[in-house]
Amino acid sequence: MKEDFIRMTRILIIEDEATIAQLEKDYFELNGFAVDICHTGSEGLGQALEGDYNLIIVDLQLPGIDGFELCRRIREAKEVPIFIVSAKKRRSISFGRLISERMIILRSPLVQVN
Amino acid sequence: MQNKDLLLEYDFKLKTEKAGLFVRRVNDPVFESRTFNQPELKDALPPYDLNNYQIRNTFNIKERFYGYAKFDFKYSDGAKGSVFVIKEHSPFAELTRRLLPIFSLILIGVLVIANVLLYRWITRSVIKPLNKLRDSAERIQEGDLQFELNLQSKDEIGELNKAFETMRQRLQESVNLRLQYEENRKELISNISHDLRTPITNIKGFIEGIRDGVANTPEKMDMYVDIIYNKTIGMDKLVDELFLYSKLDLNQVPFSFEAVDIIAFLEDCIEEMRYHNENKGVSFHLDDHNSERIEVIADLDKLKRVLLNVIGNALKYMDKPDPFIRFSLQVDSEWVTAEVKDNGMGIDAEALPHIFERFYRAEPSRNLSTGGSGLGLAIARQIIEGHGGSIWMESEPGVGSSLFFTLKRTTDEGGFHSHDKDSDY
Repeated sequence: MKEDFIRMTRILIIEDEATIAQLEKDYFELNGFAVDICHTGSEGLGQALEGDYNLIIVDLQLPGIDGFELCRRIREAKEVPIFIVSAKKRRSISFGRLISERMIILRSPLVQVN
Repeated sequence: MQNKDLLLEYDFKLKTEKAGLFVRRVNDPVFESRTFNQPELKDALPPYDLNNYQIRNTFNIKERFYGYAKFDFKYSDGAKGSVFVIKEHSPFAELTRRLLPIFSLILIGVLVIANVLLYRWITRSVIKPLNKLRDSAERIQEGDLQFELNLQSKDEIGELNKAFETMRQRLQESVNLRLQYEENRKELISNISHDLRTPITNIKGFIEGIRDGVANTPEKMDMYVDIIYNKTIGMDKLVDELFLYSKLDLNQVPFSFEAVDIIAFLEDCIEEMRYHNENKGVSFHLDDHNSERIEVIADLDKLKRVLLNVIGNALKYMDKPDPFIRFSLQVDSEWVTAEVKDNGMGIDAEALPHIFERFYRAEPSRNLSTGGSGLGLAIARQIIEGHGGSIWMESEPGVGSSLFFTLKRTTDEGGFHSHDKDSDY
């Protein structure tokens, strides 16, 4: 049952740093998830709205549309869990705009802080 | 007293002193000196006073002033008599004598007024400015430089104030410069920590990946190790460039200028570029020039650094199927302007003025993935400005960019040597 669930889970990574995206992808794939990668905000938005993803991982600093804006636009269209990933220190990010949305904040690379 | 001859004799004596004798019996003159020829004299003289209270006085008849001494007595028959010795004073002396107290009063008044005015003038033009100067000095002592001493006077104190004001301005400039440097340092450190953290984050992540067994195939392992290796190379380069940038920023790098043939130099660079970028399919080209040899004053190593940084930057933003980088030269009597033209993605107009600032990125995360230190163009600018030239970029987004820099030509009049003298900064 659990393995079926994992195999059916599709993840979209929107991250401009190719190496970091690759690393994240490798981790998920090792655990059996299906992963797609987008390197820009606009590309990621299109992919997120088109594809059927169970989880979206978004980097805050993106060329084009930034992470916050991307989350807002995805949430407008569909209710999908989003992980926000940032290399920035937690204190330096204003989460005010995200408080109302149920979100999990990770510190890049994938060290859960909360 | 009745003896007329005696009186005449006395009168004659008095005449040498410009005085005259006058003898009165009751109200009629008994003897009147001819010295004066003044018919109204009789009426002007004072009345009889036996006690001789006032024996000296002055009087005037019209504009003429007289002084007299008198003695009142009684004739043997009891009639009242008076003897006057009259002397005419010059009107000026008399006037002076009369006006002396007034003059004195006026003089004292003038002195007092002059004193008051002088005091006020001194206060206004000396003490007040000096007080202001002292206050200013105290403010400076307390570290407050945000004021202006505007005293217009043209005297020595004005000059003192001007010197003081100049000193204040200089001080403020130096304080501002120091603050600017401090600000730059802070920003630099923040930039460094960010730009060093990114590759470190990568390295840490991939090492953890290897540890966690994510690199479970030899290919993957190779890829991971490559990424780690490349990131360390990038960091190494970043630290080098930071060091160079920092030294250039503090003018600690000596320039060794020499005459360089810019055409041969560019041809060499292009050759090298072609060799290093063979697999990228980028074409390098130098436009033809009429002259065979164009000499500029340059530090060869540093100029090469400029070219490498500029080309490296252009290569990072190539997005066309047949990328090219074209060099051309424009020569006038004093300067050579080099153009490095590419057909990359171009830069937005609002980003153009900032691209020579260190760590500036037109798109915040773009350079991180392309591996630039964010210092390439900043270093290029420092070097070109160290040559006395200027560097700028023109761009059409989507079409391509042109980077220009200028270098001074060598001149026959020994311009090169004069330039060489102050090269050691």
